Amino acid sequence: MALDAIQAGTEARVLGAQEEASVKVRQEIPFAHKVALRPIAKGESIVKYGAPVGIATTDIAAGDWVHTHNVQSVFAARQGEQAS
Amino acid sequence: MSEIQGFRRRTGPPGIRNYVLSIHTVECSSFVSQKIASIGPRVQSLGFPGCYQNDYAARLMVALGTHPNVGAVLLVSLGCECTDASEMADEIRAAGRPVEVLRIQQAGGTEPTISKGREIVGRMLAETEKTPRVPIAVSDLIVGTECGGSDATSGIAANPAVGHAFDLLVDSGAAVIFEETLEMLGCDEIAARRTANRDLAGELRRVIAKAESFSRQSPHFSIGPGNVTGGLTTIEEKSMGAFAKSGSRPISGIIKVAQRPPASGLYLLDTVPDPSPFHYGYSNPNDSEGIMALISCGAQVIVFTTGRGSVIGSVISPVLKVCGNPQTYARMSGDMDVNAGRIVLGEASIAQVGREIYDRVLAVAGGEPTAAEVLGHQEYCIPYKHQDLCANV
Repeated sequence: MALDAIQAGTEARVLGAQEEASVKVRQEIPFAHKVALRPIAKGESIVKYGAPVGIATTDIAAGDWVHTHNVQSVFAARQGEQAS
Repeated sequence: MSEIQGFRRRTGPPGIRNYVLSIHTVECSSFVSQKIASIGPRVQSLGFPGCYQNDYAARLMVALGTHPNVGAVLLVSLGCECTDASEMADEIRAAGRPVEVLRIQQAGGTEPTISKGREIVGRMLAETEKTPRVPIAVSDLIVGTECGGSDATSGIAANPAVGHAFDLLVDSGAAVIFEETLEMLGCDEIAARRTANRDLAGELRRVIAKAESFSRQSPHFSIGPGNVTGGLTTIEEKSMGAFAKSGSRPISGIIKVAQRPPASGLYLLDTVPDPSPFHYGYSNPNDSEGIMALISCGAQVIVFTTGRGSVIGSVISPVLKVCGNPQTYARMSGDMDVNAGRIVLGEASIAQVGREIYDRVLAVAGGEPTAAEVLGHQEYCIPYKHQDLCANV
């Protein structure tokens, strides 16, 4: 989660990681939105709080903004609807 | 907790406020009831708009009329609605609260009812002024929590801080209640592991399965446009953040609207309708309705978390607002009680803000007003709903 808005191209520091980590942000990330820390393949789970919170609807690269354009709720997916 | 004085009630836990309620039993009597209530700040007006009978709403209003923070009740009826004001009065009286009924059609219309109502309420104010004060312990408290206007800060700042405060309250012997099972989709297994025994785990799974079924049939999951703009992508992401309000102690039981927690500990309140002839009907139309449900279970204080920002308070019980988004806090600080945005900025820990919330709950219990009380907020919402008290077991 972005603790502040992040500009595209910024090398963002990852807090709470076991060791020093950073990710090069590929698109602008609004405050409090999610950024992918590693590549996520289409159909893979998005993990936050250590729990699955959605399914990637497309391949996501490390540093991509992660939101409704590339993630679907598992509940909405089961219902065959678009994520809200 | 240093000497906090509350109001002794003939039955049930002591109150931390001492209100007289003017309750309208149908929308047609709401104007008159509000006029009666306007005579003083210690009188509050609330009621149910529906004309045809709804057991849920009647049960809810009786629970509000016998709440620890309520000293006396006037029921204002039009006179021809289905809701039975006399029956409600009997139940409120049986719980040891002075209660009277006024029927507008018998009393002679608007002005005679307002003047009679003000006379009755004036007497009730004088009587409740004499309510004996008693020292309150943390174990006398029932505290509810709710979130509204959530964003992605809620799950990492305000909600876990409330969870920490809930742990401290449970450890001190209070009963605490969280709800919003519509925002537990995706956390059923994590929550089931927190239950005290296997029967309760089964009940919890049924309650969350009902919430999922309700959401599918609505069809609407409990995530709105503001949540999405604020960085929440899916209902399960919002759920994980909302569930953090429950802290880490075992879930002792599941209650329904208007049921008191049977002992101290952490309780889950199921506010979702049970299937009825109207199918599920609409549920949980807004935050005030959820707060109302928590108060109907006896909560004397509500801790409300927000990220996008909210201004609401409530009738009957003070609403203490915790804001987890530092930008929102800066913009709306006059409406907030606790700044959990400091967690996002790295200026305070979850435990520090949790302790602050705990201390503020006790201060509010001791009479200190919340921001919403200072501003005069008195929101409430009582909808039509069907709940079967035995449906989950």
